[in-house]
Amino acid sequence: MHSLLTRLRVWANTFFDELWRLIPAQPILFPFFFVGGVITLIWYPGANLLRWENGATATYCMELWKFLAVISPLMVLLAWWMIIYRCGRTRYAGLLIRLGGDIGQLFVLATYLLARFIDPTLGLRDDRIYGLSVILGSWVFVLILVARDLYALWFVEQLASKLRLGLNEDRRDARR
Amino acid sequence: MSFSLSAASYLVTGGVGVTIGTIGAALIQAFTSRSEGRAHAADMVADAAGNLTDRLTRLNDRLDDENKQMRRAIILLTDVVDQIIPLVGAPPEIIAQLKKANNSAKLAV
Repeated sequence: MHSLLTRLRVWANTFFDELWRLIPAQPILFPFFFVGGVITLIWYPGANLLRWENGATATYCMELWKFLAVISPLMVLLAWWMIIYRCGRTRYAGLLIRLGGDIGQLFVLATYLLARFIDPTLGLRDDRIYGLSVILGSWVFVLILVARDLYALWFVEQLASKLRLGLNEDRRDARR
Repeated sequence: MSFSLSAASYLVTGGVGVTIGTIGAALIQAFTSRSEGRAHAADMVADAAGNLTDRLTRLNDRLDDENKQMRRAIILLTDVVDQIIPLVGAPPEIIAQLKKANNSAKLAV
């Protein structure tokens, strides 16, 4: 028992003292986004989650929204596997898929924000204020992820163009 | 149609378009030979990030070890100097300077 407590204390020291700055938010947040999307899709297929008046456009939006809510976190998971465990072209494709997944999630949250909190016909009631801040925080976080993905792709493009330039110079030198 | 529904239809359609577009672009990049340069660059970036972390961790461990060795050496040295000071037949101002330097070294560790 004493040993278990000691080990727990050592783990807590390491976790909170050395690693707390590095807790990755994306792997914590995205499974919840995914589970929320799956629950909506499977258990509440006809639910008008975004509280729109019934009609073809509302149904179309709701179906696309559910599709994006489920597919986006899955794309991010796939991209993570491709970037970490694969190499070459698959890794580069992983960077593109990660961007697509993050943009998809950004649009899911933006639509939810718009429909549930910003719609002027609904009004911002007092019971929505805290929820609004939480969803808005998540949206800003995903926006930063999109910026990160774009930066990573830009950086790879820059490096690739430099590599191509170096290769062309080598070929020119070889011809001489 | 309400304002939010109209805006949302654009948002979700755009989102699905971008998502499917990136999947298409990823498939093209993964199965064509035109992206060799990008693939090599992506490898370099990912490997450099991994290597940098490994290198910094190793450097940190080495500096930590060196620091511990130096502390041990300074403690040993200051103890010996403390024992030698009464035996040294130097002028009082030199002895005072030696004591001051020794105390500074003790405070540093």
